[in-house]
Amino acid sequence: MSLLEPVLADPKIVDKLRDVCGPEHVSSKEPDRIAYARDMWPRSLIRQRAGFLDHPPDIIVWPGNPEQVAQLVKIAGRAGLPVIPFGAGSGVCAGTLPVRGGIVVDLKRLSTIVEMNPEDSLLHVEAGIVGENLERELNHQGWTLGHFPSSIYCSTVGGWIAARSAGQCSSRYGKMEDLVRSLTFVDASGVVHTTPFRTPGFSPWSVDPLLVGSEGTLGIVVSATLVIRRLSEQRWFRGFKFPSVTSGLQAMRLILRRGLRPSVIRLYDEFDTVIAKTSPEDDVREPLLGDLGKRISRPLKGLFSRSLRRILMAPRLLNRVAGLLPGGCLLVAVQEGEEEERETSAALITEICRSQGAADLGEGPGRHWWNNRYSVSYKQSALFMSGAFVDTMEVATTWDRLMHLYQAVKKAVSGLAFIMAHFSHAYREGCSIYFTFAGAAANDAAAVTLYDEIWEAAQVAVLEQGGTISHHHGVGFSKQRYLTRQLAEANVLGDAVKQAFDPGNIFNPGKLGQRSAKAD
Amino acid sequence: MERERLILSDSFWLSLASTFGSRRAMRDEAASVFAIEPAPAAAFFPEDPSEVSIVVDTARNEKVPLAVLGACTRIAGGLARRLPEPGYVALGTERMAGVEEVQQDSLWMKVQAGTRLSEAAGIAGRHGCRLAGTVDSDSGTVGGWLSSRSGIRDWILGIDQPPVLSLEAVLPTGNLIHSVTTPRSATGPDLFSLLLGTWGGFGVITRATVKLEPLPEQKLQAEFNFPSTKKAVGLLRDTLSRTFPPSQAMVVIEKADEWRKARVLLSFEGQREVAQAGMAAARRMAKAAGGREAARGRASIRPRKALLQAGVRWSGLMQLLRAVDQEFSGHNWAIIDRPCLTGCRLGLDLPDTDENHRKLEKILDPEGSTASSLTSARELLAGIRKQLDPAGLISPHAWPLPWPGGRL
Repeated sequence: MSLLEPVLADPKIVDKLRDVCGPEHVSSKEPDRIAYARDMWPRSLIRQRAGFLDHPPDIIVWPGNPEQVAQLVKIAGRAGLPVIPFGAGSGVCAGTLPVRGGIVVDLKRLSTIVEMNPEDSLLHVEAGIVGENLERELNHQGWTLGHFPSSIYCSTVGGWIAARSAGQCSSRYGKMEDLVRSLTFVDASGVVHTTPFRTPGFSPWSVDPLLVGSEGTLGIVVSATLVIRRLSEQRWFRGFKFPSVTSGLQAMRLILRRGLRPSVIRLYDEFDTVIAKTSPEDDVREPLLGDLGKRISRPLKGLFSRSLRRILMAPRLLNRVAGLLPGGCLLVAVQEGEEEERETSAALITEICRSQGAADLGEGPGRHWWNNRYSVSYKQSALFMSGAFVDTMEVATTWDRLMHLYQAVKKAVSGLAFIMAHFSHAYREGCSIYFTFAGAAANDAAAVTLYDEIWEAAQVAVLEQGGTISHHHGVGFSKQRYLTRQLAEANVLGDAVKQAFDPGNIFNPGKLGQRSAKAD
Repeated sequence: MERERLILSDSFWLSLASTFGSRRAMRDEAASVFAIEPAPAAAFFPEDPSEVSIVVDTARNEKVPLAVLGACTRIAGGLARRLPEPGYVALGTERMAGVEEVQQDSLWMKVQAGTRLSEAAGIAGRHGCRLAGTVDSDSGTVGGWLSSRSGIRDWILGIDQPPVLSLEAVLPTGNLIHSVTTPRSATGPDLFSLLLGTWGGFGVITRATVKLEPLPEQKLQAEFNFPSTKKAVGLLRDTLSRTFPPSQAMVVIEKADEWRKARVLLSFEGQREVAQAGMAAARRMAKAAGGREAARGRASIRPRKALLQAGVRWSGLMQLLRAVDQEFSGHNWAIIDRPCLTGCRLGLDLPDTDENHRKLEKILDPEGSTASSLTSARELLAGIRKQLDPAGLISPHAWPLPWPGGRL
């Protein structure tokens, strides 16, 4: 795999950037360009497997402070080069892939905790800090951000803000948009702004909701003031087995409706239940995709790999077999907080689940889930190496439409890929559905075509059912045409926002339905 | 009146009058419909979003300023503190009224913007629910309530979400837009947030899916007397970090007590077990902090409306109280309410005058950093507006966007 040389209008641009950031913090070398030409978008992973690298940047820069970010934005603006902010590259929607080359700005050197302010439950932190590092530091001081995406080891605060991400405990702590109280960002003219601090319930308007979720298209967020909470030392874990998805969802809805605030409440459909596994004793057992990876690494891996791909090439049959599995859906619940409230919550959650026909499985499944909660994201490479692919799609709607949406997407995809789902990130008014689909084709070119067909079928089904096309992964390059459809006439509003923030279209062009480059 | 007629051209009037007819298009009678000064030069009452688009398009083409008028309470916030300049045309929302659908299980209500909050609340009540947001004025409209973003209640859980799942609106460009009805999403910037809290500055809200919440099974309330304000505030903060925080919490400090003693009112509501667990924890914490619970039936805190208000972080509250004591005179009480994890609102029984606001702002923001970040944010929003409404004709009185705690 080799890349073309960068095409730079101004050949001295690298030198100019080196003057700002230091020579060791600017690179246009091929290995770096290859490394930054990818995130975790499965489609580009399939393409890479086939030997294609579609989205190389021209230059990578690692600024060390906000002023350097501001300076390099000015240089890029004058040269008409795209600027793509980059966190840790864990996104699955191609949000950080440079559609037309340009400068990737890796913010990981901006990783300082600027200020901890326990009195106001506030934290001022730079955008490039990796989530796990931040959480560990907060925990040492008895605090938590309460934001635990499964990518926490390889994602940054800036990435979470850019994608409007959700953590696994969002039912208690909220999503990223709930945690932000102020942002510091560099605008398209290279000026650093800090947005007004928001006092909840008292600040009527804000530009924060525009920057949170903007995926690097409006500016570069360099630091954020976030809400933190006291760390809960004790947790209650539970698993319940429901006779059906419908009864499990009814229980989830009632739990939220009654004013309870579980940290985690997630329901697996029948096949995802089999894969999630419920054995309380077997904490070392991993989800099926991980098991497959282990098996592939064994001596018979070639044979197994071929078998797996062949099985996945008959998705309709596989989905039908999965539909015949003995019924039963696992619900995992975790409750944090003080002892008395934790006990009250536990009793009520148990009562509600039982009232919907659930069997109490004890604490094992909840504890098992908690101990393995970050595992699955790191166990998909083996499946890709087998020649197959796997992807996830997180959508959301209100409770009254949830089953319709679930069934419509399954129906749309079942002829194309093996599909399963779980329901998490529950709110009083509705819930997110997290679909996982796995597919395979005769070769990589056919796999890309199949991949596109799956997404088209799934996202069209979501749009037809009135759901949102993304709950917490964001839009990136992969979903932007569906975003355009979802927004319809509101694209006018999106265009106005982009024009006001970034009239030269230098920030992450070609994303969120925007033009791909200034010249377009 | 003469100036109004000069601005309002015959072509403007005739094109809309023929569409809306005499009962929904008014000229001289417009003044008697809205209790507002200056009265509009004309008023039009669309019945659906497509008619709103017609009014907006015509106003834009004829370069006539347009103000959206709901109930004109200015409590729910439709017009904030400002009034339109003379010569404007009113778009009345009263004919776009009615609750269209209630989903009891999903806790939402689809409602037209001109619906009175009292009507929406009444219908919610018949379904065993209430609006999931604070309502300061029953006579206000849903549109005014949302355009002022005055109904946020979830802040107490540390979540700053408006009481709405989706919106439909007409932009200054005439485009009819609508968002997906979903509890949350990650579909780029929250574009529809521009319609909340901007007093019509980015368009006319025509319909909304507002959140509901179940009527509480139980409401519990207790009042605690503290020998010091600091301890009272400490209790308030501690209750907020619990799993079941209070639904309402306030501290009252009075001149009669020489600004020393403080009374705390805490309310817990919801499912019986939840309310009881919350209150039990609060009682324990109050006792440990030296608070004495007022005997049942002897509670003395009554709701009161502070005129001069400011948002403040917890770390600055005590200093602010001391500064207020030094800088202001003539007030008899201070109230600390709307508490959240990061701060609260301070209200004083002082007139809401420019001078008082300036004094308060000087105390709160001596370096001017908040003022500077507000200016910068306002410029960004003004830039968006310029894209949509270059002549600044839709809700011009909303600009520059007001910010509570100051006239700004």
